[in-house]
Amino acid sequence: MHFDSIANLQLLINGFAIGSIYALVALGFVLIYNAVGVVNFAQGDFVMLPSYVAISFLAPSVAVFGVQMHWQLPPLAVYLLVIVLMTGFALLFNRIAYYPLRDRGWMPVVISTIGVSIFLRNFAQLTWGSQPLSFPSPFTADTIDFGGLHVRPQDLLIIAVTATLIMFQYVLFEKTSLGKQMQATAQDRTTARLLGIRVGRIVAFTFVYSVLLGTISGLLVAPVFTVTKEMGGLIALKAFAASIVGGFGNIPGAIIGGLTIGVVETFGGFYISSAYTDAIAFVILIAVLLVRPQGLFGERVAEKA
Amino acid sequence: MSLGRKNFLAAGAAGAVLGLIGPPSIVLGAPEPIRIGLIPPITGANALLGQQEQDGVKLAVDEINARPDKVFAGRPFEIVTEDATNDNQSAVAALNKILGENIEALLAPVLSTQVQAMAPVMKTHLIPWLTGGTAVKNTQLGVDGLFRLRASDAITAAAMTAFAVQDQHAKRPAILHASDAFGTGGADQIVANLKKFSIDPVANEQFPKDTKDFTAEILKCKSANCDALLLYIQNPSDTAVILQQIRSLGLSVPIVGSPSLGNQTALEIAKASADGCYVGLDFIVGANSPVATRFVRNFSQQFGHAPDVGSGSGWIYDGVYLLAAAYAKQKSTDPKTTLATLRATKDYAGVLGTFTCDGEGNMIHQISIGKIENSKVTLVKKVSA
Amino acid sequence: MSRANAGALVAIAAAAAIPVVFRGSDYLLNLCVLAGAYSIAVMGLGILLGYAGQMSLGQAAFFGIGAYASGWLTTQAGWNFWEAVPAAMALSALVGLCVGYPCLRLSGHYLALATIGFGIITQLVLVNWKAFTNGSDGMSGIPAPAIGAYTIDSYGAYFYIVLACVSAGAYVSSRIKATRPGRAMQAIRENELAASAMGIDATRYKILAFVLAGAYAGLGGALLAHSIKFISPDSYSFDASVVFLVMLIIGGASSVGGAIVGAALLTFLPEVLRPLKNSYIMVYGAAVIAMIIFMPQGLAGLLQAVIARFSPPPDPGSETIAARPSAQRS
Repeated sequence: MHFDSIANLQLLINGFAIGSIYALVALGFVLIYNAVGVVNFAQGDFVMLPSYVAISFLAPSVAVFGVQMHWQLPPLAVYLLVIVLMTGFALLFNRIAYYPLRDRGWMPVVISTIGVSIFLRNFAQLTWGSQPLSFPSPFTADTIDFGGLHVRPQDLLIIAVTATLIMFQYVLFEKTSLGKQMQATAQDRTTARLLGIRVGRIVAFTFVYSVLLGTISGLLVAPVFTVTKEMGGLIALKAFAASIVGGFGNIPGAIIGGLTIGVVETFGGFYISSAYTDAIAFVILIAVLLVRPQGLFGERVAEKA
Repeated sequence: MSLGRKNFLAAGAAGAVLGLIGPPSIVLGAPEPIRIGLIPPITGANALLGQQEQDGVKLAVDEINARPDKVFAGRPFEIVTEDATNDNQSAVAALNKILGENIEALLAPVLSTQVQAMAPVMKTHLIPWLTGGTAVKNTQLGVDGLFRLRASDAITAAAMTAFAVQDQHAKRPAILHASDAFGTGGADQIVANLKKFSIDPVANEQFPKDTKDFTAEILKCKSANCDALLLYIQNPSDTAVILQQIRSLGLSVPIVGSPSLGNQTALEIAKASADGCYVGLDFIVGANSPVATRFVRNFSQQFGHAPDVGSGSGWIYDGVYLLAAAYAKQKSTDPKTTLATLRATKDYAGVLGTFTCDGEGNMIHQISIGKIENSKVTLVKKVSA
Repeated sequence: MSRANAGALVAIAAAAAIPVVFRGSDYLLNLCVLAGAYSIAVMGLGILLGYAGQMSLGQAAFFGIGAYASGWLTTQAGWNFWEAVPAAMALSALVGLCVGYPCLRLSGHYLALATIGFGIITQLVLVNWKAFTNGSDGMSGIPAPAIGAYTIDSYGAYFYIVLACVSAGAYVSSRIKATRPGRAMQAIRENELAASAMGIDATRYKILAFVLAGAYAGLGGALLAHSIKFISPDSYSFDASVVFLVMLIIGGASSVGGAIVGAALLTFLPEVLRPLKNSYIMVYGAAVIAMIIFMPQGLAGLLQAVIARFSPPPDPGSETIAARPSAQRS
């Protein structure tokens, strides 16, 4: 039926768009994990915080700490400003939440990142209030219509930017010295250090890069949703699930995992049940964990004695 | 030396005790304040509602305390606030705390789950309890002191359904609702009301909280060929996002929504997507009494933005005034008398409409259907239960 | 009698005095009941995470299953409190078994995420299985316990039931820690492969840990349900699981007393900090970070350190997970 194929195409595009967001956040997870062996439970809040900061400078009127602000700077300037600010934040995060715990195993760091997440969310509420904020869209048109298909320009932007970032990622890792150093550090820190790689710097850089991935996700996704302090929560959990489905530690896996979950979730919500949409990501996760725990692309790592 | 120290300690202790209990106003001869308790959700996911409740109470109390007689005999209101958070257990803890603080009456919550969680405790504390929750069950819990100051979901849903079927000629309506208590309660009421017209909804979709992409739900309604869409969603920003997505997916049927659709936040976010939608609303700006107009004006002056009247500040403002009216009439704050007075409320002109108390403690029995154009709601018709 | 046992008895006696001393304050007694119920759940997490090192972020799901099971049995099936609560506990334990078995092959982040998934799915089921749970509207009218004609309705009287359960749970947990199962679990926590090589049946003890975590949390949830008499699914979220984790970490992951202290602290502290209103919640997040950096063994560890300074060298087998440097990742 003509309509059904349109509906399916619609679902596919939407699924890809939300899947791209999961993919970007998952990528951020995996990079930090690869570099320092730590799962960052605050990754979703790295999506939320820059959105709020951006709104502070973009919106015609927004209350920050109770004071009304009307900056309304041009979008590109704001994006750059946010990137700079979030870079500083990433370095702070590295120093406070990770560095003191770097030799203590993974659980304390996980707990520390949980603390960061709680702190950021409540900081957001304190600073910007409890009202959901609207993020000004860079586009004027609401949708682009052709042939019964209604595509939001923002969705296309999300997909385009994600694709660009993935290519950038590939070039960075495979073709540049910095990327090779990151890979070496991720594989074996001791040896990397022995080879003269400034491990501390590389780790800091990895945090910055990962936070920036979250930042870009936030700036991309905020016009589609509204900005609230909880916006990062479920996205992060699903992105986490996506990275495991893809094969934890595997970069292409994280991306494919994110896209897969986005698409399956959207189709599942339509064909199976909209009430259980959130469950779908985790059912996939549990199924993968039971059947193929190394994920779609991971390598089986045997536990060494 | 030691005598000096003893005296010093005694003085210090006395000072500390005085500091804790405060200067006794009875000694000074000032009229004793009337303490009313307020339990808004200040922190947590519903912090916005909490803020609105606090604003509404503050405005009412400030206005009443500015009158020469204050509430009566020069006695002012004093607000005692505790944070209910959004957790049932913390709400009950807050309730227990505030009940220990000598309050004459209790205002809030507006969340029906919190109302139901607090009910067992309030059964044994008979003071006037003015709530805003709209779940039908709230007034059926056997709590004698409970009053509901907003139209229940039964009234809202019935009005929305009747409007959709009779005025918009819907024969194949679809329902889209949040899966929380508010959404499901409302949806159930809509289904029951549709049955009265011998209609079954062609789709009944729900989404859990934190859902950001409603494509699947909207497409399901679209592919079921619905000719009207009934929304029952509590969260204004979710409502706005859904409207935007409905429009961008090309679904252009008449939409009738629950009160959050007319919420200021929702309209600001949804912008043009909300135009042409209908909403069942407690209150429509410009369409009500002088009391309402005055409220909107005073609120905007004090807080710098328009009030969210329906679920936010309006009903609780009315609550404070209802209490003041009862106390002034009785010239006392005795709980039993107050309850009787409140139960006898008839045709009281409040912000939200006319208050008449029924057997279960419901005060409001009408709802308005409004139409949204240019982010403003205009009255289409009023519906009484 | 050992010092620890004496200390425990003193604590129980002091706790038993609370409803008498604070007889007039419903507020305080209500908080004590809450703290007690939470501490049972946290003790369960202490066995799973503290002893066996299995990172579970789904404890709130078991808590909710216990609450709803007991609630349903007493409101729909006509059972009374004394029958329903143990049954609810057994059901939660069974669910723990069902969750633990597939999780055997998982560890670390995989396990954490699987338990998160379990928690989210459970909450969605509680919301959507309306026939059983009444969905988001919640289940009301859950009865108080009764002995014959006498209903145990006041917070103070109910607290004694909770206290009895907390004491029993604490006793069982400390016996586990001191005997074979506990030592096996701790060995598994340190290095599962080595433990297996030493002949420890990792499977059996990991599953046991899950079953116990489920049972404890189920008991806590059921007790809480009968106290507030109304439950709704939004109380049993991933965030609630995180709170249980934080309670355990702050109290001290491998310590039974720590679990109780952590639960009590995080129940009372927000109440004490109510005057701070908005700011206190930020302090909460910062406190978690500070705690894990500077006091990884939690408050129990701090107490141990203080005691150690004034007494002979402690038993070297009692270190906790968080402070030990892990082997370099290679």
